[in-house]
Amino acid sequence: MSDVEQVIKYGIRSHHPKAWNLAIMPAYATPRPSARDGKIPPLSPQNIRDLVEFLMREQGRSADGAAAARGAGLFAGAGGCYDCHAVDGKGDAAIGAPNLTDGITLYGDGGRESLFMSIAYGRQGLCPAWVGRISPAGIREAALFVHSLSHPNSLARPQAPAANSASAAAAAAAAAAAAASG
Amino acid sequence: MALGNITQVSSRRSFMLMGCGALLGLLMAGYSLFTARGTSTLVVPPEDVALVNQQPISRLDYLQQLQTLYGVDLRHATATQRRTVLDDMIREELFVQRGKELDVASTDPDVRAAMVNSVEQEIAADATTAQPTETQLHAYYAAHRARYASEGIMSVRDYVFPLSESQGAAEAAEALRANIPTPALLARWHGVDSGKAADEEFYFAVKIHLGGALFEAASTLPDGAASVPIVGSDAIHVLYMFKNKKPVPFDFDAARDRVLNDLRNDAIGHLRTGDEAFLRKRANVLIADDVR
Repeated sequence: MSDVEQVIKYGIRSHHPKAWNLAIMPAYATPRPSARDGKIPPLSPQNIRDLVEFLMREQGRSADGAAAARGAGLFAGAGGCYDCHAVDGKGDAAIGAPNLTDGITLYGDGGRESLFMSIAYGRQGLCPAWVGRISPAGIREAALFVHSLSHPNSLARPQAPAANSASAAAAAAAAAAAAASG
Repeated sequence: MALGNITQVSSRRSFMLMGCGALLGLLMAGYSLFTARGTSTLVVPPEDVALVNQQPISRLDYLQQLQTLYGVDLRHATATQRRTVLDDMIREELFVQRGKELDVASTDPDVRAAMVNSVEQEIAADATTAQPTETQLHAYYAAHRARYASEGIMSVRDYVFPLSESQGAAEAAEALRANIPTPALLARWHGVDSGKAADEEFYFAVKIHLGGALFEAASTLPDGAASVPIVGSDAIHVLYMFKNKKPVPFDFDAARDRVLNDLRNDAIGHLRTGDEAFLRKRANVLIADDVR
């Protein structure tokens, strides 16, 4: 609960010094995939297709075996994917890297095309820092609302935050989205 | 008797009492002013864990610190852990307040950089916390449609011929338009594959590998086409396009995340420029003659 409150207060990738400045999914179809890490190399279209096949295989879906094997090598090697998503592909919530093996996709329909898009052009969800813009009580309200979305039995589910009106509701929406991407 | 008969009017007594009253009022006002008791509170708000000279120490920050240092929440923290964290945070607040009194920002470059960064983030927050409407996003997408397209992909070969073989290069280009390239075909005019282009690459990679001029020539070629000979400083180049998949515009749904990001970044840039202009406008800046 305090984690959710912390996210709403300081944001995710909001550049606030106390924000969770989580990892950003590189855009591998660009000359410099990661603005933060210049060592991450671009990938070729075939490399990306191989990675997609690898992910399909890891999710238990039908995949091209040879391409998946090449993708596994890229995942654990030149692509540097393992660095955030862990060697087993199960991700690391602490840095906002999602599990790639559970078949739950945050963007697109999880098909080959949307996986290709995510790898080629990157993703980066953002939750703004609401500190100073919403009162502490409003932040608590938004946190309670977001928490109730994933813990429906933990408390009587409130309506979307009203006391601090639009800002708290916007914060709740942003935090919910960012929490999902984190 | 100094005050005289109380039943009789006395100007001297009136002035003395008025003076005493004024003095007492001044003393009370001065005491209140310098101790600021009238504006302070003795109650710590529920969202804080302490007030240090009326500056709050956030409960959320305190809980986070407990979690970071000891991996425990408030219920499971020992009294010593709680005390240690709170003491550290109070100490920090005291030193920050003292830092303000000493005006450390005027001399410490780290403090100055941190303050500049904080103000920039504060300005940016106005843009990041403003959620644009779908209409605004659509309008932005429509105005910058060229930005939202896939990266083109091509499979191209760069064949090079000696500078002395200009006629041969032209004949080779003609032959390539009718045939799939083979080493034998190229060898007839002493041509070889430069090896600069790989099997299938994104446009940006081809541009890096071949250079801007050759890339521009290649990007216009359809599948199975050969370029005219292009004279370079080292050789004559003939490009053969196996496959050219040009950039495809993304529809709004596919581009939405990037549109939102770009719109926010534009808004941040706009706000920063505006704020800086405002600060410069209201500032009194004097510049020494020798650096004007």
